[in-house]
Parts: sequence; structure tokens; C-alpha cells
Amino acid sequence: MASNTSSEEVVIPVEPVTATDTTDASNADIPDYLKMSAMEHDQAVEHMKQDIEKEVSKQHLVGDIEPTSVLKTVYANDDSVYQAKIQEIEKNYSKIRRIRQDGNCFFRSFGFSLMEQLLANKSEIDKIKPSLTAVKTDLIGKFGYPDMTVEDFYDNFIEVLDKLKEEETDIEYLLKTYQDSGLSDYMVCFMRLIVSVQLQRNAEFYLNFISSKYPTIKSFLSEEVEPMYVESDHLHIDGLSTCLNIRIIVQYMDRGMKVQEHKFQEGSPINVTINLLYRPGHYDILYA
Amino acid sequence: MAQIDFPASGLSGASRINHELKYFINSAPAHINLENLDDSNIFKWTVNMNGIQGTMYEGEKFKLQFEFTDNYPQVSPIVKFVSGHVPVHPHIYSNGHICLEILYAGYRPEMTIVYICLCVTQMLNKNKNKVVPRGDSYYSLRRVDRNPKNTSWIYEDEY
Repeated sequence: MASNTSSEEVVIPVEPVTATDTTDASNADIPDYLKMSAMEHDQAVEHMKQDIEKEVSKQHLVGDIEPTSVLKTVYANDDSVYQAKIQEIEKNYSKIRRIRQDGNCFFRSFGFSLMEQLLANKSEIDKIKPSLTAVKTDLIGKFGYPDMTVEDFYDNFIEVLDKLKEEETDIEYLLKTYQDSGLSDYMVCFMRLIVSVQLQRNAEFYLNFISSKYPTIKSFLSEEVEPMYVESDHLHIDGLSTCLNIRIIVQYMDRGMKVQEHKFQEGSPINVTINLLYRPGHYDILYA
Repeated sequence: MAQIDFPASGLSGASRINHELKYFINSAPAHINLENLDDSNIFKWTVNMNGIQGTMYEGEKFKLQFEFTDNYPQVSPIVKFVSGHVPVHPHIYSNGHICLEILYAGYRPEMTIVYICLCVTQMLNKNKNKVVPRGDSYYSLRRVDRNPKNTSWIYEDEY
């Protein structure tokens, strides 16, 4: 039996209050928000959602390089824990590139940082391609994903990689590509599928790290990896890093004792290192 | 069938919808077909769906509507049955709203329209009890023609 509990219906008493009921003066103890008509309520919810989306969409998908000290303005002056940690991070990483906080930030940070480094180091591009092609082949051939959509995401990713090889391609091109929501999100889609393949190939291993609310790898992937705007954690980082054999170093900055550093695929022969800053719920790119 | 050729416009919703259109025409199973598409608005599809032989819906005809936005496929389309062409099913409200996880929280950008149609078909095929959902008249009355994506769904069965 299906049931639905929209936010308004959760609070509805057993005797349903319909739109016409709410205009009845005898319902004086009904709180104001319940007196709204269904249509008004929907509009209010919709407006609230739009306001939040508007606020987030003011941030660039991928921002410009800024001094790391810019983070000091994000936290209160007297927030000694964070202010001290920012100083600690500044010692090793003087610059930061901030990424939009839309739940895709890990993937967007990884993708941009990877391609930015490949732009300066073109010989590494072809070292990464075989793993990307294997991802596509496995998705379609081994795991039964639709070829039409998977190829769209793959082709877009490869097209941008190939463009990096060209002499005239510069950082402006890369920024423009990553700031175009269509192109940028397509790359995020493909990177999410890379994680998905890596976890499906090694399902037994990764299942050890997944909450028991997910009985199978597949159910975890459908809820925590493949949908857009779903935040990433350790497992996503490990999946992407391992599958492509790309080194990732994450500085974890939270309320804990000190900044923690986590390294993934440390021994990778590919001459790329993705440096990320993690703050609760968010990733940005760091630069030495 | 509408023939649509869009100029290359980066990766807007239209480019994927165009791609889906070709794929749908080439690969949709026999029990579903696309109703004439309005050339000026490819962001709204109506899919005719026939009940499968040997199921409770044999001989019946339904209409499933897809509404896409410019940020499709990152954002899911609105999928619902068209009023008056809604199957009687314990997880489908008579205003056309469908309680099916892949349409909401379980939506992934790599899903095709054909795949979504097949999931809905499977939902019909598996049903053994032709009844409307609990609370149908109340929900359908309050949410006529409104967006099912704004409802908080609780899923009880997996399809």
C-alpha cells in the first residue's frame, strides 16, 4: 500500500481539514499555517525552495583562485578552533578555489582539479583514458546500463579531455566548461558512474563499509552515488581515486583536535595530485 | 511523428531529449508509443501505454505524461498519468500521481524514458489487487494537477 505524507499532511488531524474547512471560523485553534489553502501552501513551499536555490546558484559552479585566508571571513573572528585551523592549512596551501555547495562539490572539485593539472601536463592524459573507456564498457556490457545515456556522459568527458591536448586550450576554456551547468553536470554524472563501476566491480569489499540500511551495493549506489546533488564521503573518494588511479589528498577541517590529512592512491604513477579541503558537508580545491 | 533537428546548443535539456526521442522510436517496446509531439514544445511528452496481455490491465489504455526542464537529465522529469487515463492501482492516485521511488529520490540521470516507462509497466504487471490507494480521494482532491515531486513519498514496495 502506498502512502504519502507531504509536509502539510503530516500535521493533518484524523478528520481531514480540506481547503474549505480552513475558512471556517469555528476552527479557531488550527494554527495559521494550516489555514492556508492547499494551493497557497504549495506556493509557499515552492517559494522557499526557490529562495534556497537562488542563494546557492549565486555561487559559481567553480570559482576563481583566492588566497586561503579568504576562509577566515567565513567563520566568526572569535571562532578560535576554525581560525587556528585555517592558519594551519595556509602553511601548506596558500590558495583555494571554491566550488558551489550543491552536493556535487566533491566531483566537481575532482574533475576540475584533474583537468587543470592535465592541461599543464598533457602527457598524462592518455594514461587515464583506458580506465575511462573500461568504465564505459563495464557499465554497458557487464552491468547492463543503457548505452545511449552512458555514452552521452562518456563522450562529453572524453571530448573535454581531448580538447586539453590542443595547444591553444587554456584555463579560460576549462573554467568556461565547468561553469556551464550543462557541460559541468554531465561530467559530474560520468564521475558518479565511475564510482558506481568501481563499487560494483568490488562489491564484496565495499559492502563492508556500507551502512546496513543498504542490503546491496546496488541499493547504496541508487541512493548515495548515482543521483545528482547527493553528497560524497570517504567511499566516493576511494572509489574515484582507485578506479582512475589518481592520487587524492584531503585535509579534513572540522571541530576535532586538528586538521586531519587523508591520502588516497598515494603511490599512483600518474603525475597528478588532487588536493582538497573538506569542511563538514563540503569540498573545495587547495593549491600549494 | 515530429522530426526535430536542433542546432547544437551545448548540453541543454533539449539535446538529451532529442537523443531520447530517436532512442524511443528505435527501441520502445510494442505496448508503448509516443503521441504526436508538438514541434514547438518537445519538453512535454505523452506516452500511450497499453495494458499487457495476461495482467489485470489487459485491454486497457493509459496515458503517461513527461514534463522536462532545461536541466534534464540532471533533474528528473515530472511523470504522471493524465487525468481520465489513470490505471486503478494501489500505488497510483486518481489524479495521476504515481508512488514510485525511481521518479523521485531514486531518480538517476542515466535512466532513459523507455526505462521509466518499463518500470511503470512492471508496477502494473505485478499488481494483483485493483484498488485505489488509501486516502486517494483526499490526496487527489488536494493535489489536482499539482507537481507530484513536491509530495514526500514513502515507498513500500520495490519495483
